[in-house]
Amino acid sequence: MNFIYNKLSLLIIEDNLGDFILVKEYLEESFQTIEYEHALDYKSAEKLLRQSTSYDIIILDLILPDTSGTLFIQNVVNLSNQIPIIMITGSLNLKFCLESLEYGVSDYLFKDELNPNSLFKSINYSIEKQKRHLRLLESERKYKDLFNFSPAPMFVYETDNFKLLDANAAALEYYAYKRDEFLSMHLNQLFFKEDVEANMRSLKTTMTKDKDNFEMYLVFRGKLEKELKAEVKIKTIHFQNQNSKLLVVNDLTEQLLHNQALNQQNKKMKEIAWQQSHEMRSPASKILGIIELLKLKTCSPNEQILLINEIETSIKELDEVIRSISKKAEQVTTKKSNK
Amino acid sequence: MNYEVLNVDDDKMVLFIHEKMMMHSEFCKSPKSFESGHDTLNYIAEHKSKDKKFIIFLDVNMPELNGWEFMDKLDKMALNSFCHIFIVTSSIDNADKEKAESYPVSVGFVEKPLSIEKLKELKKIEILKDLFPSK
Repeated sequence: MNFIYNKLSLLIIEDNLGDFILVKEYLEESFQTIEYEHALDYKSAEKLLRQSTSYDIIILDLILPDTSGTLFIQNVVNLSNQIPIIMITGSLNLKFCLESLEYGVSDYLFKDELNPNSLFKSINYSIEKQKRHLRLLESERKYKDLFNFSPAPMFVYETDNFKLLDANAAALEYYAYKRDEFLSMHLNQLFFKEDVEANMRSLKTTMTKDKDNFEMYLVFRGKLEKELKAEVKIKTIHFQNQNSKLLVVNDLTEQLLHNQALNQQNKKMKEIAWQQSHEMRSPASKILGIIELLKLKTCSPNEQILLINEIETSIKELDEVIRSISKKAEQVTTKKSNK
Repeated sequence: MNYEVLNVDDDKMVLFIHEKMMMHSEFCKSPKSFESGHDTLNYIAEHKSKDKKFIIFLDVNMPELNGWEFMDKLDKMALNSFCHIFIVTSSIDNADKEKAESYPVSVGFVEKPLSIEKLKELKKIEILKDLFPSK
């Protein structure tokens, strides 16, 4: 016989010693080595499960197909920490067996049909099924984390009626709504009155597309009428069995404000450049002209005094312009450091 | 052909410097000075003559009528043909230079300060050659 698992570690919950020995023998036929713990009742099973959850499988013999049996199953499932459980029952109550599957039992076997092969098959099947299930849970969790912990605000809405279905923490913070508030709204409520019609019209054009990026930014309305400018990406997703869209926000509000500030700074710089070109050069060029004239020695003593006084006036004028430029430059730099 | 030199600037000191330099460099023995564009236009209109050119050193930045407006008016009054204009400015802004070139009546662009050297250069430019025959 080919062994899939050379070594099997399991917990057997079985109050009938004869049945226990039978199960153990069947297992020994199929597996090279078995490591097992045996619990005679729920209490000892609970104790063992609290100590270790490294079993490959739990085999649970259930004598009573009644409410106490149901509760028993639920308790064991809760303690099992995703270890697959195979239920062996003497009763032929199919309804009860199917219910137990709903509670989280992996498989059931009737005592009458129990043999090494059916047990072997059920164990392998249950372990493999559980592995796949865990992988699925893991990838689901990963995607949930991607959504929930993403720093980019994103939310999900129903494609047909634009009802908001889900939002990540970043989106709730971005729009400043509480979760239940947000999820009771429709997408059009995230726009200002004057923009609703145009924005909804362009969003409707995305309904039939799988993916869409908006070239222009949208202006959203956050709570308290806050204006939020953002680029959006829209992607079709399946969410809670509904035809939905995921909308990812790339906020531009800050960036646009920044650009505005930069433009203002630029304007100031241009003013400074103009001043340097015009206001500063005017007295400077006059002084240069006067000096050239003085060098020519064509002026009378009175004229020379006049020219020297003019140099003084021009220098003072120059000084004033320099002061006003450094004041303007200061405005530019303080704005920068405020940011 | 005769010529007459007119300095136009709202700054008296600049006018004084220009006059002195022009006399010293023998660019012109008796340049005339005007503190406003309006006065200059009136003077040209009254004293224009077919065998005389006005060489005007025109400041750009003046109150009331600035240099550009002055040239627009000159054009409207059909006085362009009597004048050669040098745009004089303390600006080192290239845009002003390009703007000056767009006026047909302007024959040159002079950055302040005007100097003896510059005046000597100006005498040699093509358009003024007839007025300043080299001795």
